[in-house]
Amino acid sequence: MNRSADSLAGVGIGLRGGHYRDFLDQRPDVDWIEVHTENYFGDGGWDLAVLDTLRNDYPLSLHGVGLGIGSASDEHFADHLEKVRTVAARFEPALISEHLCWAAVPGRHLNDLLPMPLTTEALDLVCHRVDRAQDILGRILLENVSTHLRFAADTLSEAQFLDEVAKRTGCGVLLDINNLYVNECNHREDARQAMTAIRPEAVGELHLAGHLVTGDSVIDHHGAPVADVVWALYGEAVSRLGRVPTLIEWDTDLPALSVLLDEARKARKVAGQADKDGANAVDPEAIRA
Amino acid sequence: MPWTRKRSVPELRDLQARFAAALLSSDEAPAELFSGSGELAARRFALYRGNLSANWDRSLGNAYPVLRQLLGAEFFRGLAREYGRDVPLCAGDLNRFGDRLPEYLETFEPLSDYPYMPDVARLEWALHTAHYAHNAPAASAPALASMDTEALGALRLRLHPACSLVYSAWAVEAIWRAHQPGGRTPGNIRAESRTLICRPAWRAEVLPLSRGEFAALDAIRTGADLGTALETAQDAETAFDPAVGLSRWLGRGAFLVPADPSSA
Repeated sequence: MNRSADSLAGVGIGLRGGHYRDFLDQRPDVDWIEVHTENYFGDGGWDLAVLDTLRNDYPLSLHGVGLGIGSASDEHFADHLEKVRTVAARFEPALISEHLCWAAVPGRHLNDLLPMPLTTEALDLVCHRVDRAQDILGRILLENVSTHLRFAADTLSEAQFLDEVAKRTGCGVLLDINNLYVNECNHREDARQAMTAIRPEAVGELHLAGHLVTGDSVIDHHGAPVADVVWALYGEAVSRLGRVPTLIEWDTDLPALSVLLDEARKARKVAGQADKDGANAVDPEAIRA
Repeated sequence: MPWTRKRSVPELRDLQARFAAALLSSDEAPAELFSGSGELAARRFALYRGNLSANWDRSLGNAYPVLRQLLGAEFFRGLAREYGRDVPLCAGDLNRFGDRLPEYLETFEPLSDYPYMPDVARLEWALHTAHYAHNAPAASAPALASMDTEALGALRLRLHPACSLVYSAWAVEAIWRAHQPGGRTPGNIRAESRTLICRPAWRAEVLPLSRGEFAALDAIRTGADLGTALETAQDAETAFDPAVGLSRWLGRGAFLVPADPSSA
């Protein structure tokens, strides 16, 4: 498949069903759009028709949420991958990404981004699966996820794991800044250290989203504005990585489109300033739009 | 040495199998699998259990909005949990979650006093799948108008992929309509209903059919030519008017464009 990461640049937002009408009527000013691949698995219907249209005006990123690339069971992998291929062939995305997680056991799909055991055995499996995916889809990006739990058996950090997968398979890394922060809260994993454990050239996209702080755990519910502390981390990421394509994600309690467009503007501003000044000059107070 | 490591590090397959089994049970969480405090791990594991139930509830509610209204949100959530446990989804596509709910409801004991529920579910699932059906062009009235009577009678039409027929011994069409915005309470629910599920202009809808219309479309669905189908309709319903019926179905995009009308 003929894809170039160069065709995605700037700040995109996630296209969700609740904003279809706004997009069709107004063609809002965003640099690119992202959709969840599985929402376009149908043979046809409104979702595909809308994306057929919008695809002409925006570069597209296909973001998978159901492949479960780290499931030890191989039962669901080939079928799911084939469906992703079909969607990719129809919409010709600039970029395809999946999550570093597992999702299924024999006889049952669990439909969640479940925490990956970070062992060398898991690393071998994920590399093998990424190879298979890239044979069919071309280069993909793999995203770090937020988790409530880490396994006692873990021997690698998630960042080390991802960097190693990227090194061995040539895939890219989709760095979710909010997830780094959530995991820092949940597992006392240093987000900045995690960021530096991944080679800058491997990072092909950044994600920004809101989270929810609860008593037992921080949850990346994608249902709030990006937190100030995550904006600060994002500034540091841009200083280290340059202007990597960035996505604003919002999935729960979808607000008016204008809220997402404001977040996108803010991301441009933070990235612009970080790019100019370098990490140390990023003042969280100054970026409060 | 590999064998000593194997003994101390649980295999990936085993870790995931234990995680999944615990997710589906209500027993204590397998805190020993996780790092950190066992008590906190157990509470955090409950968040994954909550995600699973919430996904099931949301996906099932998306496909069965009327059933949810009929049963109430709390009962429906419980149903989604039982169904999710009993009927494993085998694909990473939550839009397919619920495909076996109508059959499941046939034997779902808590609803045994509501024998029309499985048919309400059938109607809703037909609507749900219509939404995702192939965007094939539908046959239009003007295209058929140019054909002579003989050719028209010999024409073998095929139902559009977004269309399906739903029959029930219960008034499920009236029940469904009563739960749409501005809907009115149905009268007698012990009445047959015949409907065509269709998707004109992208929105799946329920078209009530007369006995004759249903007979004709069912004949077409099973391969009869149009002439035979229309005769079947008139046998089933003396008042059936072929011209009215045909124009009504074509107006809802009921058929695929015939492959080659002139050779039919």
